[in-house]
Amino acid sequence: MSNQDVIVIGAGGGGAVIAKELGELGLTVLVLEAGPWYGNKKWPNPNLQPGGVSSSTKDDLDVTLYKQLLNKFEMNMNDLVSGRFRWGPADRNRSQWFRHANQKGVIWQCSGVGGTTQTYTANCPRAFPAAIDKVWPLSYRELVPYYEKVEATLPVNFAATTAKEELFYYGAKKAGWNLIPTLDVKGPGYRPQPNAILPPNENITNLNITDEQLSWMEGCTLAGHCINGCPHGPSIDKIAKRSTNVSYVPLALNTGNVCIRPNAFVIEIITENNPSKGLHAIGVNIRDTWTGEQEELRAEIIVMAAGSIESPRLWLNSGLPDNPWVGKGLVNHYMDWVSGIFDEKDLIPILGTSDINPYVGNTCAARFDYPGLGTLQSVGMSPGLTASFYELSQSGYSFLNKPEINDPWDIKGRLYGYELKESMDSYRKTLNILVSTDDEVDQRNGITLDPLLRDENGFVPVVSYQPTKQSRRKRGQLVNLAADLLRKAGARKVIWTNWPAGMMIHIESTMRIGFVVDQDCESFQVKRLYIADNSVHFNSLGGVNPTLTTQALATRTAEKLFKKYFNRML
Amino acid sequence: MEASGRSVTLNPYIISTFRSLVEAIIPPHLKQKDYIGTVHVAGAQELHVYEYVIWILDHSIAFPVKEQFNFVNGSMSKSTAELLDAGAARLIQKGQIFYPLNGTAYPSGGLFSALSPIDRLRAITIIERLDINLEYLSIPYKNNPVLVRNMMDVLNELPMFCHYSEWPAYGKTRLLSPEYRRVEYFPPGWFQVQYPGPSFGYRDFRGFLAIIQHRKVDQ
Ligand SMILES: Cc1cc2nc3c(=O)[nH]c(=O)nc-3n(C[C@H](O)[C@H](O)[C@H](O)COP(=O)(O)OP(=O)(O)OC[C@H]3O[C@@H](n4cnc5c(N)ncnc54)[C@H](O)[C@@H]3O)c2cc1C
Ligand code: SF4
Repeated sequence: MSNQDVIVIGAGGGGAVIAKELGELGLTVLVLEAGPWYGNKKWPNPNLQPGGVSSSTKDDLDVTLYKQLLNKFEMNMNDLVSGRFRWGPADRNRSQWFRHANQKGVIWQCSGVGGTTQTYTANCPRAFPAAIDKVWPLSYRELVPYYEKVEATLPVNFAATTAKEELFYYGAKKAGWNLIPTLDVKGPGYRPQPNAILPPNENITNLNITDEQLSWMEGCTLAGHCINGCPHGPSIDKIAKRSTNVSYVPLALNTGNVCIRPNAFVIEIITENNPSKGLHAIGVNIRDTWTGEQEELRAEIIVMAAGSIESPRLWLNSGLPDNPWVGKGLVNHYMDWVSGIFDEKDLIPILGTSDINPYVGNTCAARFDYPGLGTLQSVGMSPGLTASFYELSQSGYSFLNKPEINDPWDIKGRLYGYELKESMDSYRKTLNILVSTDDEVDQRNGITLDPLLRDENGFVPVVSYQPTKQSRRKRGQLVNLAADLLRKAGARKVIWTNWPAGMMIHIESTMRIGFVVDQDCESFQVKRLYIADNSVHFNSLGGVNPTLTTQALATRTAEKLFKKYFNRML
Repeated sequence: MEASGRSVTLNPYIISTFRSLVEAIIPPHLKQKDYIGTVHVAGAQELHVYEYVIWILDHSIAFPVKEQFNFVNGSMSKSTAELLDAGAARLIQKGQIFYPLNGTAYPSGGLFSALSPIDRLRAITIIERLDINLEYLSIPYKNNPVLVRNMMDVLNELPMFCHYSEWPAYGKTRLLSPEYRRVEYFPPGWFQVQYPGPSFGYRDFRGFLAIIQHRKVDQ
């Protein structure tokens, strides 16, 4: 007999959502999370000591502890090797978990309750309808009620404007594009970011209230630390940026049916084969990341929500049946980075200020969408992250890439030396654009197991990705559009970094719906095994940020799973 | 234990190599100030950024994996310094250095640190193009072109992230395990770019360009 109806593996973008939905339907749910839990009294020193075992009540959440841990210092929070937001065990005395990358780039995921949404910038666009209709095994219309539910729950709103968004909109308009104030994007245009960030408190401009007081009130304070981790709000469930640890997790705990156990790495899915049920999942083996102890846990249903690398890795390490699409088809939006440096004299007439101040306001609050190509988004970050983004280049140092006369950029490639210092001296006058491509699925890309290298959790994943010809073409067009937007906004200098292919920030499509899982996200080959993370996406959604779609699907999957196994009458 | 803090190498060869690396990537410079003339802006070497690069390299591979690389006693920073020297040797061999070698700046360093700053970046370019013999590299780079290429981005990215983050301001605690580091003063990299540091909020609210009308949650 199992102690719970459902085990969810991973408390990130998708896992927390399905846990809350199932809990609300009255099922008992155990969520197993490999990483730490920040802001829970049972783990007062989450990176130093093992702390408690699990938590199942909102009373354990502690906003003071949360604010102390998420201290907004970029090295402490964002360093991929030893930061609080890294892919590794809670114990920061230990190295991160190893991944074998087959190309240049960065694999950016976080362990811990909230998963990668701890560091995400909370951009929540819906997929482009044209990327879903007649392509996915579901229609866009079928998704809409689930989008609406997630948008109302997080909630999602159009981002507030600060200087960098104003400049982005100005450039987009000057470049001849229209404002498209919609959630269902059918043609090109610019719009405020639909994001899971609470609108600014009504006192945002009231100078009788101190900044610190404001940071204890409900609503975004425009502090610009979204990517460093947002600690602003009166209580955990009212933190401004709606990572799942502050949105869906408190709601899940509220149901009284959900228990979350951090520091528990699932290393195997256990199955059974019998004539009545066929091959089906019955439980998991976990490994405590502090003690190394292993334990077997059982449930009626297992949901994998370990993310697009670990879900296929776990499938493969568990020896589940062969399927030519397990791990295959990875897309990452083949991202790129274009920056514009502005002069004071050009900024003042547009903004009324001499600086853009990229550290003010939501990290990523304005966007330009182009169905068929992808998207452009404004980005403003703390300086260390900003500087490091200039360094990742497919084309090496900028001195190797002198621009041609007709090139829309002044600098291409990795900055160095004086040029770099000059760019960083202009940090407050810089607008960055993240290019995110409508990336084409290719079965050669994806996750396999390293045949030799293992860590304590099994054979390590190998991540392989090369963009297709189509994806390259589209990215090229988007880079030109970004350079044009910056130029029209008045940029004095445009820098095209030419990111390498392996920038894994939006990782999707490695356990595709219709290939590995059915329409309801249950695996074809192993019954009672569901998936509720980015990996089930059929494609790259047209180039838009993936998480809202994962959350809409997880909401739908909860309903389908419940209907099939727990209440046929629903 | 892998990341037990404190441990950053004292090997002068490794230190010299990474000092010369970060010097080439983020040199000191003079900045024109409107009224007070020029000011000296510290480069990465002055901010000890090379120590961070070495620390990260030596703490980035988990023990069980190191074991299978046959690398338990190996040092990632040492292998990486040797990789940089391999690039330098190739650049010299091809007769492509712009400036003569200079062994005095980093007496304990190898060929890489004897190159002029711009030639160091050109040696990195040679490595990036895999114009070196991968057979002769030490583990884990030996016959590992993907890692070799990837590392050339990493070696640029790490100094940049470090220099412009709060790390240099961890002062005496900078090489401790992250839980024990304390910011001792305002980070110089932040001062250089005029980033005000962690903030509770800003008041530059300019309204909304559009508003979403939500439907009711309950179906
Ligand atoms: C800097 C950054 C900014 C981003 N911004 C945005 C954005 O604005 N909008 C957007 O839509 N997307 C954004 N993303 C991507 C977004 O974070 C992901 O789409 C989202 O988190 C994916 O959800 P997921 O459930 O697939 O995986 P994750 O959120 O990564 O969750 C997986 C969870 O499973 C746990 N886990 C893994 N393996 C195991 C195991 N074996 N046992 C137990 N637990 C396990 C992990 O620790 C993790 O907590 C951003 C990503 C980054 C890095
Ligand atoms: S700008 Fe980002 S970090 Fe600052 S309060 Fe708003 S959501 Fe939080």
